[in-house]
Amino acid sequence: MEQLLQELELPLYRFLLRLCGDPDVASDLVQDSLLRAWKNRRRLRERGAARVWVFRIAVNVWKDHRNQACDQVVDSVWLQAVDQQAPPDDVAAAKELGEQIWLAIDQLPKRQREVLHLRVIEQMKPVEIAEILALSPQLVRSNLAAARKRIRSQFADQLPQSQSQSEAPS
Amino acid sequence: MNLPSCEFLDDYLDEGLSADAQRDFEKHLSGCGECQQKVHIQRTLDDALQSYSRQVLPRESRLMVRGRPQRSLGRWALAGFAAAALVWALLAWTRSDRDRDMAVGPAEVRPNLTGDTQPVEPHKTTPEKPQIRSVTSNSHLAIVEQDGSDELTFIMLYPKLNTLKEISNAKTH
Repeated sequence: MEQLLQELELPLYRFLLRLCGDPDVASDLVQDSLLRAWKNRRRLRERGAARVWVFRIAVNVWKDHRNQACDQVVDSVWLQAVDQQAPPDDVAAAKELGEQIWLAIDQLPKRQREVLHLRVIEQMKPVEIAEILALSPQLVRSNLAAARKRIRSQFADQLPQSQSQSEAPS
Repeated sequence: MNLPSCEFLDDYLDEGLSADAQRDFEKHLSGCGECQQKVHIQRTLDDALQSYSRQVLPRESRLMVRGRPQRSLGRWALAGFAAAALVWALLAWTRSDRDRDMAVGPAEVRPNLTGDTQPVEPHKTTPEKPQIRSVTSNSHLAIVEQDGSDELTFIMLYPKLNTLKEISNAKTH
């Protein structure tokens, strides 16, 4: 269990940062989530489901926190910080495609960005995402499809065509 | 070329098709340039995002939160925790001795307001449920268990996120 919690620290941080948009708050929420998971570890029935269980705890910790404070939109925070504080090499790296997509996801509706984050970045199955966010698998799939379509259409022009497509006869 | 099965593209990407349906879609995919292009775009975007979130994001976050890189305090933090644990153990030992003396000693006699003397019940030590809590330093987080006698047992001790990132950065540079 200790090892699992250590392994989950960074994934939890990424996810909580996605939810709250504030790195300091996200760090605190990670610690609260890990602590709560450790305290309640005896309630975990299936070891195989531990990852989903800890993420679900993180969502609850976030909901508890949200009732008290932060519900910010993330985009400008990241851009300002990178522009003002990162050294030039990092600024260049941050302008790459990955960051643009990260920021674009923040513009999606809340549910779409949550499911897309868990699916693409944490590589969870739709069934697991449904359990973490307390949604039906169908709702997860429909939100995923909508999110993917929007992101694809936004970035399609920036990407080179696939080899098979460019070679396909018109 | 837009076959009806183009509509299953997102289910295909998100493992939402049965084995048979997946086979059918792959047949469709091999002949549909539009779906191939969408799959290509999606995989490129997914790869870029995963790479960013695993490599760049932690470093950016550290820069953003702290404003400048911090020195790792790992060894000092460990030494600090060890010292804190020692002090705590000494305190717990001293206190438990005092509690034991009070529990087995003669009843203390204190004057009451009327001037009579009444024996006062000795302090009883009742077993308390252990408390689990976290202790943090600049660079480490410890999860500890504390029982009724103030004895502290370390359950987990590991570097906090920024320390992990610094370690990771040090390895890559």
